[in-house]
Amino acid sequence: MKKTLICTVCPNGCEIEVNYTTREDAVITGYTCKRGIPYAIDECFEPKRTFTSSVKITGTDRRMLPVRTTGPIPKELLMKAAEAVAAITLEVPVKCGDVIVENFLDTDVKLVAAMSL
Amino acid sequence: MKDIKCCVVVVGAGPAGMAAAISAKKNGAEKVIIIERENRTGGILKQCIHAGFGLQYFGEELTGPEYAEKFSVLANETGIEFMLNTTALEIKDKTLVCVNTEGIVNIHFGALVLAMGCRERTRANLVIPGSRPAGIYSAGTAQKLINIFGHKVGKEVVILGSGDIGMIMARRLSLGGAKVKAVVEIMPYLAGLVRNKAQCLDDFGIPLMLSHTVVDIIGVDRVEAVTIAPVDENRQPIMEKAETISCDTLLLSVGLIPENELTRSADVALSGITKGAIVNQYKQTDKPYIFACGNVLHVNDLVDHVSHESEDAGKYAALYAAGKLESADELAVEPGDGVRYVCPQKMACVDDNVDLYFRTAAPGRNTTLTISDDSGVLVTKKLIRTTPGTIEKLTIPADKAKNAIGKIVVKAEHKEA
Repeated sequence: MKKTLICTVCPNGCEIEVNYTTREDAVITGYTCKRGIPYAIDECFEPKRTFTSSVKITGTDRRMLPVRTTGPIPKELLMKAAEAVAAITLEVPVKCGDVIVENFLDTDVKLVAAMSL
Repeated sequence: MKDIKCCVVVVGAGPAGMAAAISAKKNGAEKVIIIERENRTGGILKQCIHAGFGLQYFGEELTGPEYAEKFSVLANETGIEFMLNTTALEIKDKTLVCVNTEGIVNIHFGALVLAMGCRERTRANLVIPGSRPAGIYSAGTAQKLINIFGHKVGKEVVILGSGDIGMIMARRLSLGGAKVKAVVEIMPYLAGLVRNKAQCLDDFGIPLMLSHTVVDIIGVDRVEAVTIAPVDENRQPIMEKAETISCDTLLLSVGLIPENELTRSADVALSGITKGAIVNQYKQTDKPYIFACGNVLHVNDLVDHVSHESEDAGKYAALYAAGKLESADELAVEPGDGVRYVCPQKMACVDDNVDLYFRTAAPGRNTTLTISDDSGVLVTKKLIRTTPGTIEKLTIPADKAKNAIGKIVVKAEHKEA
């Protein structure tokens, strides 16, 4: 199978071509740095994205606290992730990097605060 | 009325202002003050909760607030003084007139760095016909309402303009349960970064309609629909092919304009293309004690570039304030074929590398970028592809910068469209 995709690892947005039948025999061309290789393979077999959102916070003028996952999670979980964070309310003080959910949606990835408030 | 003296004063505590201030301090400015009209540092990054910042500058992928916080912590450690909730009103010679709850504050400076950022273009800038119902937002306003205040702006959305903020909002709205029906772009190519099309539009099945525009807004109290038409090669709508899409919200992501009201009060010369100050490689304006950096100078694609450029502005502002920035003969730097603008617009011929930042005029592949002066080509670089949405950077090495003659011209030539 042949797939052309845009690498989203960095703003360069390289156009990468992957020729594959299995994960092991994939031939990858068009990347300009080595970070494109695992991205392209994941994108064909189990696409992942870093999830960012904001959750309710009380005790300050800012009503929402930005949050993020510490690493990428399976793309198909994005909507579920959005629903999960909508149910969270925190209170100040929060420090950037504070863990909000340890094992977010059973992905082994943490959900953390992305701002100190 | 209060009077304060300082070496360098910076207007704006966004990423540009903080990088400039830290750099000024590191380069010998004893007292550095940042004026900020909001109650927090970080500027626009406070609402840019998506990831993708810092890959170049910090070598890791950060969200906007994380990127800002790193600079804010560094600024505090460096001993930068912040005056929050303070608005800069006017520049009178070497005095910045500000106002806050204590009244008027006059800041007497050795050098000033403009870092006020930019504003969004609005419906009024585009003159879109139709009624004036609720539900029309600039993309950045919607971003602030959602990410900082937790409001929902709409359920069925059309986005005009394929700038990065518009595409990022398409994803944000989709994740919030809204249906984004289309992103409409008048140009035949994407305005923002291609990675944002991949991860913000394609991931959510949002159609991108290139060479189309909004020709009518329908609705009385609230937006009910927008009419979209394809455009011809002169960007004129083909009305017989227009179609109406029902929606309750229209977001506009149609460009940014540097916010230069304060700059005008000092009578600083502005560029008609970038809408920012005309500067040399030190980011120094035609008023030698005023420097400019970040989106108030020219609208950037990446904050990482802003940080680097602003460090230059801060460094040279500090040197100027200390009387250590020598003036040199300056050459004009101009966009040639295939290039829309170059910043800086002037180059002092000194024995140091000179970075030129520029945007190409149209997208293309197998692109050759060249910088030349009246004696011939100084620098060339080949790229697989370029787009106007991406800022390119080329460096003139010190020995060539020092001996350059005539006019510096930057060109981009595409082998393929």
